This record gives sequence, C-alpha cells and structure tokens, in this order.
Amino acid sequence: MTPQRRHAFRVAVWLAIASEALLFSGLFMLYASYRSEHSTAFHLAAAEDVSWIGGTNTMILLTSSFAMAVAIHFARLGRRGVARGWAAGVIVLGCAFLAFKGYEWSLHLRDGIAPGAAGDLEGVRGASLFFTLYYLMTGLHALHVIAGMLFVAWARHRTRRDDDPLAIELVGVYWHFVDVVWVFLWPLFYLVT
Amino acid sequence: MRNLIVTFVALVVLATASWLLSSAGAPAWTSLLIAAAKALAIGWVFMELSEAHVVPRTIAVVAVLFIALLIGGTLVDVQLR
Repeated sequence: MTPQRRHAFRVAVWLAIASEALLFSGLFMLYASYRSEHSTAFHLAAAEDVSWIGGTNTMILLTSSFAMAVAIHFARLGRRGVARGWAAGVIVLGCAFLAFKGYEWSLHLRDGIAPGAAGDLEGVRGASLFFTLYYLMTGLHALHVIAGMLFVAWARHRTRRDDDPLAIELVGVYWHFVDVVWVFLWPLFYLVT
Repeated sequence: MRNLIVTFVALVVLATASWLLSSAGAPAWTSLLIAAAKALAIGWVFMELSEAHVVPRTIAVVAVLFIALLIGGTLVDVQLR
C-alpha cells in the first residue's frame, strides 16, 4: 500500500471520529442544559444508578484500551500471534462491559426505570428526563462498543495473514475513542449524585 | 511499551481518585476535570496524537474547539436564563 493511501485511511478514521465526537458532545450539552434546570432531580436520579457497575465498567474499558495499545505494539513488531492474543482480550473485555451494562439495565427495568419513566422518583420533576438521557447516551455508547468489537475482530482476523499493522492501528484509534466517551459518561451518570 | 504501562497506571489512579473525590462530596467539576485529563492521556499516548501527522492532529484540535464552542454556548445560555 502506498504511503498516500495509508495517510488517506488515517485521515478518514480521524474525520469519522471527529464527527462522532460532535454527535456525543451535542448529547452532553443536552444533558448539561436539562441538568441546570432540574439539578435536584438529576442528583437524586443519578443516585439510583448502580455505582459499582459504573466503576467496574470504567476499569474494564481502561484495561481494554491498554490491551488494544499493546496489541498494536506487538503487531508493529511483527509478533502477530501475541498481537492477536491481546486483540482477543479487547473483545472479551468489550463483552464483559456489555454484560455489566445489560445487567444494570435489567435492574433498572425491574424497578420501573425506563426511558420516560423514573420508578420511585416518578413524582420528581425532571427525573424521567435524566433516565431518558441515561438510556439514550449509554445505549448509543453500547452500540459503539459493539461496532468496535466487530472492527477489532475483523482487524484480528486480518492480522492472521497480513504483516501490515495498519488495520489494527486504525481500529485501535476507534476503540480508544469509545473509551474516551465512557470516561465522560461515567462522572455524568454515576458520580454527580 | 513502558509509556503504555505508565499511562495505564496513571489512568487507573485518576479513575480511582475521581471515585474517591466524588464519594467525599467533591463538586461535579472535579470529576469532569479528571475525565478531561484521562481523555488527554488516552488521546496523546494510546491514540498516538503525540506522533501523528499534522492532519489528524488538526482534525482532533478542530473537533475539540467545536466542542468547546458548544460548551461555551450552553454555559452562556444557562447563565442568562
């Protein structure tokens, strides 16, 4: 592959990430705007989230980012087997993240917390808005995690027969972006109680 | 490889600090400030912006500037309500 083509792929991935960042930042601003109007409701509603799951998922994604970076490191060294092992670790951690997220959603749904419904906080004005944003933003993020896992699986498969680390490098940039989004979702939905 | 390990340890320390400060009742902006530090570390080291060509760097900076514009507009709106 020519250097120009490699450069074009890198630029394309960064442009895609920039547009994704603007999508999420719009949602973050929506959160900030509603939070300023319903500050008490948002504090009470955030306390309903399962903090240990939020913390565990943060550690899982940080570890997965590290695993991704190590996979790229070994792919560049030509140690494809080791790189594939670390990439498999990324996929396993992604699955763990989704499992914890699904478990948390199931707990919320059991308690009557759903998009537009606030369970025990039903009478608190603004609480249902918090949970609507919670499902929207964490759901959208979960979709990105699923897409990221599929990309990692594809890059891992390519590494089996291809010495060029470009695919795993590009997928790695996307995976780290997914981690960055969670880094901001965690305080907004779990820590600001 | 050493850079990656140091960054990962720093990220775990920052995440733990964020959780501890939040548990101690620190204001929301401290958690967000720590989140911004973590995002910077991930971008600079794991996403390799430190070694990237000027075009990806420019794209990242412009995206951050647009986000800052959005944050600024929202803050002004909230303050003037």
